[in-house]
Amino acid sequence: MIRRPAGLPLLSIQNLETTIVTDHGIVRAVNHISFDLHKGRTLGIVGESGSGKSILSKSILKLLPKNAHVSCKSRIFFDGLELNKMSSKTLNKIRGKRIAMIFQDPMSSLNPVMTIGNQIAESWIHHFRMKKNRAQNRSVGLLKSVGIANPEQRVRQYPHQLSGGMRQRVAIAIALACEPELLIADEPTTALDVTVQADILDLLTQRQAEKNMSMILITHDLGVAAGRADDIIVMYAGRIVEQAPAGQLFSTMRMPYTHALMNSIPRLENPPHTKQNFIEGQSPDLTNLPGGCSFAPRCSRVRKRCKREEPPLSFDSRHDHLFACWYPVCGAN
Amino acid sequence: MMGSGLNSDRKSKVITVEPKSVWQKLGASFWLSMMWITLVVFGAIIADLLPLPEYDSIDWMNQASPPGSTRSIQPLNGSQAEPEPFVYLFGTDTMGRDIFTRLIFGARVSLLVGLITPIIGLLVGGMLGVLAGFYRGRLDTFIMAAMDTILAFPGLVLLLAITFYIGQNLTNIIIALGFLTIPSFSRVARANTLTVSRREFIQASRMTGQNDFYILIRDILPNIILPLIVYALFVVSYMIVAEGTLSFLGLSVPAPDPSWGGMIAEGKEVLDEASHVSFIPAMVLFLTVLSFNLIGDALRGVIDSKDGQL
Repeated sequence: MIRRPAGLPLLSIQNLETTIVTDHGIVRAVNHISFDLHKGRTLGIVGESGSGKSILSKSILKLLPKNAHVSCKSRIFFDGLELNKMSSKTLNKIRGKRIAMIFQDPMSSLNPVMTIGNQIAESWIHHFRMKKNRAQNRSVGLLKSVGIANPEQRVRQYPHQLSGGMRQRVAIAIALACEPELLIADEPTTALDVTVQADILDLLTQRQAEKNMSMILITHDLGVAAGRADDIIVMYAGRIVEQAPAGQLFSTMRMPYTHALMNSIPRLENPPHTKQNFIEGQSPDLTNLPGGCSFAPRCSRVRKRCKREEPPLSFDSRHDHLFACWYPVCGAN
Repeated sequence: MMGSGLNSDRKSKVITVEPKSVWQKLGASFWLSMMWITLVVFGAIIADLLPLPEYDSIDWMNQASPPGSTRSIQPLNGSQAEPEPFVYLFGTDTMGRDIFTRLIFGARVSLLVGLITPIIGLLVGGMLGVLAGFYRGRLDTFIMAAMDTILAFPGLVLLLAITFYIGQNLTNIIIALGFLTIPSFSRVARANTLTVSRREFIQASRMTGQNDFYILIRDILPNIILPLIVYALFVVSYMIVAEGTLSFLGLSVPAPDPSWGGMIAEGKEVLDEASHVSFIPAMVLFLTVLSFNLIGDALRGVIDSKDGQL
């Protein structure tokens, strides 16, 4: 049903494990995560706050805080290059040029004392040794292509003179400047108004289709991933708990956690004053993960085995639908 | 009728609130201070060209004479020419030297110490603070421990040691005072760097493939330089006072050269009969320090309101 592109994946992550050393103990932020991403496809990574989505994306390009470490057994391949074995000097030639990233908060991801034009031009000057004038002229065209009106004026302005949505467009322009092969969007719409969210996401998917770019779309909102991602990974407590092509995932959810996430989305067709569904309890403490399934304390279908043994990520009827659950939900959603 | 009248009244009132320009925001005290500082700086620069007596020429007939008294005797060089009449604008000091002249030449010492010292602190302390705040870890611990050591060392003892062992001249005083301002500058720089480094645009910059050097120069430095400069202005006034204190103790420029602190010290012997000998230099010192503080305050106000927009 779903076409699997042949050949080597653009990004291949094998057994990624990231730990953060804190005063309270070792936080296992990302545990044994493996996935492949092929050229031109979009991978949605969905999970609650604190499920390790951001740390996962930052592990790929070593953007981690100083107290975080990627295990030496982890392997991250990008187009045949092993990213986590690279020196930071060679990595700097990939960052921004072949892999770009969009951050969550456009209020703080732009330098407040540098003009928009200069910030866009920087990556051309840095990666292609382009002349400053030429780079700045090009930034006008790029701003226009991400849907900013009056780009000639905007390039001379500072971030505080722009609205949140426009700043995120500028951030997208900076990320797209060198036409990267992989774009990592870390909750690109979380800090924006609902009205702007769809615009920004549409812009991203449109640009992705034009350039045949691969994209990792990280979000806590299943709805954001729904229309845009080809494949979806659901993360919980630093682990992948369900992984499937988007259509398959939404038609038949196997993992109770995904199910609970889906049910907690407010719906327009609900009658007024409907009690909002939510997942009881808190995400587990990552410094001290319980034995067995980490979702067990909050799961409505929990049985004895869940608390004893950790379910492996496996499949039953379909090869491309992986889930980590002893007693999966069956049937259509 | 009433309603319509009110309505038209409202319509005619067009709201015209022009945003205050930066110059207006600075306020009158800023401009008065700037005028005073300009006057002092200008005087210090052109001191040699002014028609003034030598700052160390002594008029034995006019010791500690009040402001406005005139030179009455012929100069000692025996020339027959009629001495041009000269009014001691601010009077003379205990040795009969013109206070006005000495104030202008003394301004050179005060301004040199006041302006160069913070630059030393800003450059060295600022750099150390930025490195400590950006790299954290062991480097941070090491730099900050060194800074705490300097802070804990009694400054006056260091200055005494330097003047006694290396020599009492302006260069040594400036270097010693500059050294003592390094810790406070590094603390200000480190604190600001810590907040800026945590902002996401530093990561975004790293994500575009920039190295640490670029991030320090283009991302961190422009974001912390304004608070550092405002702090430097406060240090200017602090250092002028420090130099005054040193010359009061006789640790600054050696004897015949004038300095404000030294002049205040000279007058303390005759405070009861000729208080102007101390009070006039004290007043000039006070006005200068106050002006630098007011300028710093006004600039800080403007910067704070700018930050509010972000």
